[in-house]
Amino acid sequence: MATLATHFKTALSNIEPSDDAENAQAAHAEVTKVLEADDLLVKLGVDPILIGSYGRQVSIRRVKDVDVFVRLSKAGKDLRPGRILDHVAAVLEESFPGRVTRQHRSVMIDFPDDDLSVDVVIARPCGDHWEIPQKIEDDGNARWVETNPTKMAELTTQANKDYLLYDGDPGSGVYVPMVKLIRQIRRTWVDDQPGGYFFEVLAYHAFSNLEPNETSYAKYLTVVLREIADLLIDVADEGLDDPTLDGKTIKTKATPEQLAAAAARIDEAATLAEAALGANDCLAAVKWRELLGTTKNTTTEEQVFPLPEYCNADGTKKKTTAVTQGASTVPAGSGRYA
Amino acid sequence: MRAPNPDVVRVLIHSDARQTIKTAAARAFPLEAGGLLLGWWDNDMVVVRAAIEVVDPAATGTSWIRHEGLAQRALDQAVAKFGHPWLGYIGDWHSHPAACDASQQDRQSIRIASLAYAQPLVLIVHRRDGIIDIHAARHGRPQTVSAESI
Repeated sequence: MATLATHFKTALSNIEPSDDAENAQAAHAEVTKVLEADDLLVKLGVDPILIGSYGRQVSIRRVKDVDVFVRLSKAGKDLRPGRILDHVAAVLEESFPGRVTRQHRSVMIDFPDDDLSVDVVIARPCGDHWEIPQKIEDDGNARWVETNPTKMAELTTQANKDYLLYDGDPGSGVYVPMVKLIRQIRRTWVDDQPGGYFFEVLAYHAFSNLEPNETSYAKYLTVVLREIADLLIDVADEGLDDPTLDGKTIKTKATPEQLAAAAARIDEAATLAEAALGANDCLAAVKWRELLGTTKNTTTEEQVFPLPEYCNADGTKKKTTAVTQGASTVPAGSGRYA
Repeated sequence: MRAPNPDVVRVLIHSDARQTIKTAAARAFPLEAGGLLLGWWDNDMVVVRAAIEVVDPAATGTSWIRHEGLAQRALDQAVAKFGHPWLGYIGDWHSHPAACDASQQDRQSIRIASLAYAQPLVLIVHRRDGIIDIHAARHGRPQTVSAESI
């Protein structure tokens, strides 16, 4: 059984949005500062928070948009979403001239130097969660729709504490790395829809259903991917339960045909993962490479899963006489470094 | 064509190793952290593929000690966990909670450790300012290092 721990670690590092993360953080901070300086928004209890995959730390290269959830904690039922969005757009336009687009349900600010945009979504309180505008008419009236994006962040944090790679090591949370790998597999195997959040929720349900307790990334990925493949078949008929709102399902732009196509592709992907898990190191690496594909939306597409140094690209082992394995014993006694 | 200089050791350092060292150093600050470098020798080149931390329970802000028992256990566990047929011990690393390079004591320790191996050992010192200072020793003698990142 090939678990290739070092190579999974490298694969995760290859999809980590390190530069994007810094840019996203800076862009979010700039937008927040502007919103928190506006008198009307302050009266409405403005309290922006990062949401979306970047906010939950499950984003992968490249991060092209960042969602800012602008909680207006003192807003009442009389708040007109069209008017407040107009106001937010005007406030932002003053600070980011020519880069602001008023959209149907949000305001987008472009950060062209970083090839990044920030989407500002306003929200009013609704019990212990929030409502956001769904569709705004010309008169500013709209239907409001319930949402609870902060809950997904809480569930993510908790799941990453619950599922560990190494028992007793709280730093070895495996849920977040798995969601990243699943998102990468979606990008590689699924045409456009369903989107990344849909797959993140599928991964959440897969973990909840299985409560896996494995000892390697390879094993976790294999069992979770198979469960997602199975879930996708049911989801086509029954919808996907929203873990943040009781009795609700996740909305998706995917058509029934797209859902069926995704189910078939993920079934193939799960079978490939099972084959990789059972193969020898080098053959397994070739299969993991096929499963995880290449980085998307980057200047050059790079293989996510590295080929082990001792393997050929066809899955055979290199024959080399030049390499001497590192020593199997450490120096005797103690070595003091100061 | 010139023959390779036998006193120069090429060291290839993988980003995984750098990241592990950086993270462990930050976590241990203001104390020193340290551990083992894992990799292999390819002709006269040393490939640092990974780093592992070995906790010295008595570490201070100016000292980290590699204890044989703890280090051997950590090496055995890491080799089993990583499942990489070429991985083994190729040197030591430790952090300095200040922006200073390897001390005389550091250079002496890696020289002494290298006496037990046919191939050169590598020492990486992670400074507080993020710079890494790299040394190598073979058969008890210091070597000039030519380092590259991979």
